Amino acid sequence: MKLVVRTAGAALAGLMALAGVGQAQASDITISGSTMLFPLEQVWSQAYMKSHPGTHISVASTGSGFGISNAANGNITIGASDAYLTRDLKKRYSSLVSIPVAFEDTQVIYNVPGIAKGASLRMDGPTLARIYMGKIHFWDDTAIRALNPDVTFPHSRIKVIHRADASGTTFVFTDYLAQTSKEWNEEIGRDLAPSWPVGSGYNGSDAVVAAVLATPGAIGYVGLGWINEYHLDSMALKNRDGYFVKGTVKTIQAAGKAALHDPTFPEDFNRSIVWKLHGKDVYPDANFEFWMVSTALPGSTMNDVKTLIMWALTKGQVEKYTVKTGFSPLPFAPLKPRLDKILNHILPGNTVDIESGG
Amino acid sequence: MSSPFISEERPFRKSPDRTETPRKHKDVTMAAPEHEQGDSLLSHGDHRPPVVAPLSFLSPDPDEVRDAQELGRSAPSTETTLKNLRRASHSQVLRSERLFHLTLRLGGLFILLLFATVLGVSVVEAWPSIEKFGWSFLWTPTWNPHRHIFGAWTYLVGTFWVTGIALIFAIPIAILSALFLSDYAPKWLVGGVSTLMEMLAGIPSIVFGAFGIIFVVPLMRDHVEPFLANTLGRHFDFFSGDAMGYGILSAGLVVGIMVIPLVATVTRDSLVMVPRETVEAAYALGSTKAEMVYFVKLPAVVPGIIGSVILGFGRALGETMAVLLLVGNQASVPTSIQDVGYTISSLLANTFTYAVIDPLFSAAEIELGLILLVISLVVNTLGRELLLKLMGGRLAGSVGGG
Repeated sequence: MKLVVRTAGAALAGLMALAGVGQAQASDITISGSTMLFPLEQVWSQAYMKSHPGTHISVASTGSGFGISNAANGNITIGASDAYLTRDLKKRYSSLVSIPVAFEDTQVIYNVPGIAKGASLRMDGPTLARIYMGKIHFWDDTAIRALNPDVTFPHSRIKVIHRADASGTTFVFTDYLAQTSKEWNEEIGRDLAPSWPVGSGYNGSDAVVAAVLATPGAIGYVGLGWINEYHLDSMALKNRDGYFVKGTVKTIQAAGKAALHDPTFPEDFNRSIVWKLHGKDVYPDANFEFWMVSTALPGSTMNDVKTLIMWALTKGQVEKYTVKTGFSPLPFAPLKPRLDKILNHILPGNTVDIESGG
Repeated sequence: MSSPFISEERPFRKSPDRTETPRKHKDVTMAAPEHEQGDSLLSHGDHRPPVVAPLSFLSPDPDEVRDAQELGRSAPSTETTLKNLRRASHSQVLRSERLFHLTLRLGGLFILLLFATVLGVSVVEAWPSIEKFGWSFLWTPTWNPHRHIFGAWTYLVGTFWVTGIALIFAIPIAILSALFLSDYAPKWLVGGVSTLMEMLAGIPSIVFGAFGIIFVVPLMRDHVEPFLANTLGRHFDFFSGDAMGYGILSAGLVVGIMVIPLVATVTRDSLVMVPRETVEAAYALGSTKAEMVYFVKLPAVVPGIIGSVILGFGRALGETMAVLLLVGNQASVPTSIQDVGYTISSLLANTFTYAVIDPLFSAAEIELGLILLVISLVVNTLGRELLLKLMGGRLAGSVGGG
């Protein structure tokens, strides 16, 4: 008994010592949320902590939903999300402000027997939607053949593969389907975890890649990072102006720039950059990756967060961080006017900090 | 058994009425052996804890006399033990007794509290969904978070499909292997195979899931499923379909592999416990070994088999990681054995972190969890009851399930 008590006492003392160390840290920032953004956040936090001693950043990959809800209730400092704040979310989490930190996209991958690598298939929204609704069953369907007149398709069954977990990739993918196909919009809609009519689901992009590569006749979707890492063939998707564009760092950036230069694009960034944009090389299924920050953060933390955001949007955008982890860098200049407004007016901090002194 | 333990236990049993609170005496006798065991373990070095020694007052314990003689001391006389007894403060003994008793009670209470908390929090959190959908939640086939329609039907069906396939696959193999181990296997093999089987039960499910992806899925996709479709599938739609690999069949088989050790160990244990007389009587009546096993042993262990199967059912029902990797995670009611499906536990694992964003969505998911909790609670209780009735509690520890 005594031994147990003594051990427990020692453990308690140890815990208290640990807690003390935690308090002594100058500032702690916790980032949690999107699994897609996680690799980039890891690289960033390493680099940032090296150049800003005294700031400690802990990063976790828990899913966008977790990131949004926990940033709103103050459990974490920054919530990472692949999806912007839709009207519903904005209503529920009114204290959140979204700040874009990188570009990503969703691309369609396939495994069609008899079609060689590099064949560059073309696809448009309505056809893709009908495949994912189970209304097109075979690869040699007339709709697919009409889009790809030069390719001979086998009469093999299409096996629809989608994400089973709630995912920002799915949100961006279903966003494209919902905006291009009336049927899809009415029956399924856009969601991080929609109710899929057909197919089979897998947990995580890595599992989707594995399933598509292993299953003859499969079609699936993943983000830019996975395409690059596994040298996958993706389909060229039809954009607003009728061009078929493949997702690359350049075409995704073109989409982002087109959005930021559009004067009707909202000040708070809360609008999809899927489909609506014009331009020859604009990829129609790109998205911003967001950091969600609550306006209710304490003043000193808020200042640290702002410094981190500014660092991430300038020094953090170099290719060795962004492109290497599967993202396309954000252009700072077109971002600046909207960003200034958010950082200086909506997010408090500068004034509050003076009161709290040191 | 070490002699101090035995010798210390005895006086307590003999003289409960000497303690000053007769009201407590039942508790004292019950708690005493454990208490003393703990003490004697701690006070290994000085051989005799001071609190207990005076209590062995009536007759000098023979072990104690021998011990003392070996140590070169004279055996303690009745008089000295009585003196010791007077010196020992009864209230001190009682206080430590009461303290120990309280500690035990706290431990027991904590378990109850824990269970009540889990159940209570689940019900409270699930309430919006229970209130909105009522019983129809059970048979509504739609699950659409986007439109706020939630129903458990597809997930319930998927769960029972995977569990069913697992049991159909596991039970015959488990019973055959149990019979082999109890009656036919050479002695040198029994130990090894039994140990392996118990180890199999302890392997984390994610390992089985990974095994399923790299081995079972390609096997199903390239060989078993096309074969099924070309033979049975020609006559019954139930066996045809697109060979995909992933689906309820793969998930069921892998869960079945995980259930085999559980069913087999329990069945083997009950087979071993069939009275020798019964077996010998069967031989005396002229039956062969096979006849004895089939007509005498097997009927005798049917309750044990049923109990173990129910435990296996509980295990298969809640299996999450392996199923999630293999079942295909598609919310549709399977019509063929080659179809994909979705189980309650894998749905929760996949989407719960997202569901927290919407109160009704998370309520519906927690209600699903609650359904799973109730089913496995009922099933496990039934299985345990059956086993206890059969084995008189000897197996209660080994059938943890999980």
